[in-house]
Amino acid sequence: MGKLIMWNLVTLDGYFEGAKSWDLAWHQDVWGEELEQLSIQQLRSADRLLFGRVTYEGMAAYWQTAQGEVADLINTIPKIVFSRTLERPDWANTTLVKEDAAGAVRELKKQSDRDMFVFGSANLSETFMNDDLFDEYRLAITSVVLGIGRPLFSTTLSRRTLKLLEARPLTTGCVILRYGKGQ
Amino acid sequence: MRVLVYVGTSLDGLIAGKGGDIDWLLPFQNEEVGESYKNFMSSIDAVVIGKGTFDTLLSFPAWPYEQKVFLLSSSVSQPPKHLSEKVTVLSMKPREVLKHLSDKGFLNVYVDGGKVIQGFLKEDCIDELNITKVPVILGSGVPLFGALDNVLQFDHIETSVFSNGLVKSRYKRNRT
Repeated sequence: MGKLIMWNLVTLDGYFEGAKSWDLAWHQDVWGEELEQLSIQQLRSADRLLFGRVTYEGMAAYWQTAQGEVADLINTIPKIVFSRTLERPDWANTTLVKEDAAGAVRELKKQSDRDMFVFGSANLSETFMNDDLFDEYRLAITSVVLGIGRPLFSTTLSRRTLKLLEARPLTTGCVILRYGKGQ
Repeated sequence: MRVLVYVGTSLDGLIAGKGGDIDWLLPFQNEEVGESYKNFMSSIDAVVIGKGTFDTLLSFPAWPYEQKVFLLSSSVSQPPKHLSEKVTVLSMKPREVLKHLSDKGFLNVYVDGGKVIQGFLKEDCIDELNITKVPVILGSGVPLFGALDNVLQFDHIETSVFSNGLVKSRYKRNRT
């Protein structure tokens, strides 16, 4: 069965994005060799990436003109964007799904043995969390208190216990935390 | 004088569930976790709390702190008689509190309680954060962090993992 993994950089006070859309200046402080290696590893272990519209469009714009190994991997890997309003996805190797993201993910898990990642995509992630579809929450907690921004976790989520898989601080000061589903 | 926080939060950053419930935290209290807290407290010479925390502590079978406790409250004028030696009530803002404590010679101040921690962060009065992440998502409840007007940069010092899945990270405030 394929695993659905959430991957996000998040501030100490729980924001994955600053007040303005794509306000990610604080990523600079923790980016480096280790995170780059982690990103490459993740992209190699995955057979597809899942996005909501906003993250998809922002990432497409950034990565299509970027260089390097991460760019090569992310531009070629199969992608799915879940959106009712997106007309034409224009990033390479993308399938557009207009309905029933949860159902689609359940099907995808059956079809594959490998990892599927969700980056950003707050609204989509909330849908997946409501149906408890994430097999792993993988977070890089940075050491900045941003003060304002978009929270990663919605306040309407139901309680759940998780299981710590790994906790690893990087030299740049962010802490990688991996959690799987609890008993 | 240093001002420290030592607190447990859910993965989604809450220190308590709705209505202040901490039943989700109790299964994770064990000897290892208790030792770590005791270790931390052994370096502390003053504790600052708010009314919410105070009320919770009053419900404990025994008063938990050896150190002098300062209760920040404008609604309480005096502590209960049996705590008159242990608790002093102050009605001051964070910076005034710290001046008061510093003048009295305290060196390591532990600040506890959601509202108080948030108030101190707003005034950039926290020097060290010890945050233990509990492997639970709560959804609704009391957040550790509130809105701030300024970005507060901290440096990660160390992270330790407990056998029951708790992860404690220590951060020092970087004001440079």
